[in-house]
Amino acid sequence: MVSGSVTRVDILAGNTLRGRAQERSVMRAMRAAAMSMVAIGVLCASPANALPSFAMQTDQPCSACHVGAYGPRLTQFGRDFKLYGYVANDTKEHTLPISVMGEFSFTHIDKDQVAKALNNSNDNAAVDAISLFYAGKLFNKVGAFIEVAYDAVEKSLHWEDFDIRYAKEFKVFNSDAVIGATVNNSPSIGDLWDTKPAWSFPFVESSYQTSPSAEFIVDKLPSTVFGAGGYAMFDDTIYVELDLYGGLSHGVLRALGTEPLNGADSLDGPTVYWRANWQREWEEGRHYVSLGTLGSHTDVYPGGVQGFGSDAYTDVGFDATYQWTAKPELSTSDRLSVHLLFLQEAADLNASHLLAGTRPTASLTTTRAEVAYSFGATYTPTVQYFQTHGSTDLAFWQTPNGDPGSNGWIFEMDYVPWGKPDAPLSWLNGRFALQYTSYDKFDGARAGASDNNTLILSLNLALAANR
Amino acid sequence: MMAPSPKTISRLGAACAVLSLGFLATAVASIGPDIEIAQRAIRFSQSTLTVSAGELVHYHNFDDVTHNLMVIGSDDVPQDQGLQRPGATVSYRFTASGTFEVRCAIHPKMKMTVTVRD
Repeated sequence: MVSGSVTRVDILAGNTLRGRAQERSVMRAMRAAAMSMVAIGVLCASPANALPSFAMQTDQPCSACHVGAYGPRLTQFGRDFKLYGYVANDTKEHTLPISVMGEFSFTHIDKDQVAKALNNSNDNAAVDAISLFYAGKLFNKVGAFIEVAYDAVEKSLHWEDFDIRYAKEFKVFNSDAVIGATVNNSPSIGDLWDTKPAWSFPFVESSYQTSPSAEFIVDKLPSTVFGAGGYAMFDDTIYVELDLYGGLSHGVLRALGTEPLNGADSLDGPTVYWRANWQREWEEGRHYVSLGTLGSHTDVYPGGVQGFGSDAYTDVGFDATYQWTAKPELSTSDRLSVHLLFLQEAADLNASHLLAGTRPTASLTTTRAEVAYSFGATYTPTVQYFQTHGSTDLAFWQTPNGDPGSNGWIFEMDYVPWGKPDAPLSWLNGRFALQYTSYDKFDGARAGASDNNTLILSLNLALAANR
Repeated sequence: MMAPSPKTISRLGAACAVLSLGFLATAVASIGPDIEIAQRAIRFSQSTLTVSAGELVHYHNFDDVTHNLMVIGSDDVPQDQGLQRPGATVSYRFTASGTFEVRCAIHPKMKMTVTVRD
């Protein structure tokens, strides 16, 4: 992404901090912030997708787990596979479940951007990332989904997704229950419903697109934290999850190829992430409905500066999913997938208020609604409406007028020729995608918003090394 | 040699008929009526089933994806019946009484309980 996330490093550049040492610190932090913006862009650019190593382990085509035969949007079996810890298998012996994925894109933005060392002013083609995955069973009931990505634009290696989980069946009050434990580096990485933040649409992004600046804290935490949690599904109906995360030290993050939160922030105590859902199927899976809620709480030292208190962020959201499958006995059936998300963030900026003169509080709200229809698990058009708005604060948001609001539409057409029962190679899958994002408002401004309209042509190839 | 009387022939015929019926009944009892279970939309057509010992259950895969059949008894040791390609049928004869769980190793929520009576 060309424009990055909100970087509270700017807070350090405010009038509160003085002195040469502090200025040097600010410059270091700003450089780190710039790097982090690129890193976050890359992180966001590569939501992990359908992995053929899962397909090889289970003897299932990608279309069994993913709407449109390519991830990450999950079918009911895909949700079950994840719920049970990535270990379901065809009982045969396999080699290590290793997958490799390549992401390639061409990006056109309505208005030329400032040319930089790594990109033209417009019409950039890129190998965005090459990723290596361990995705599948580790041993017994323990499975893993681990990704290391090489950012081919920045030419840097970093860790990305990390989720090791264990799940076991129990009887609770005479009903079936699945109870699991997870160790991971991203709140919501274990999410089954493709809403926030690790798995949400759009699934196609490029290193060179423009994106609104304002982001939720829960969107920015992936790969900067590490934690553990537990989850349970009762009677295949009620799902609950609770995770606790700690911030990794800046040294550890840099060793892992990742920049700290906002370039220089550090966490004050653990981050809590929670999720609860109700789900139900009708007519042998022809209809599926899920209603859920999610949230997180994070305390942050802006710029890593202690002694002024910390900023407290609380995210609370609600989501809904409806899926319709024309022929549930066919993995290649036509499928409708509807997702709604409402997410709100309330921030008490105690430290930033003192350090950088921000307002004492800030808020951010987003609403997203998307509809996807997969024709034969081959052609999948998706349309999404998104709207983000929040409190105005020039010192806090990185927008020209201090308004974090953006809204618009995303149109995407995916073509997945393989990943189905009749595919010639079960260890290979790919997705061709054409995506257009249209902004009615961008970073608080309606005037010129369409300058950021972006067209992305994307190719995503994934292959499995396990047999 | 005297020819058997009609009465003797009738008795022999009746005895043969009884014996034949007996063998037939025994054979039928040992096989029992076959039971058909569909695997469709990644679920079994029944979640519970009661059979008599010796009965044969046919599992028909109507999905377009591969299934697997595991029969798990009280010893908790799965008897893997192997993979079941789309359209394939796997048959399993429950010979011992008890309660069994039948599962698909690929699809963890796909399971049924089979009670086998003597």
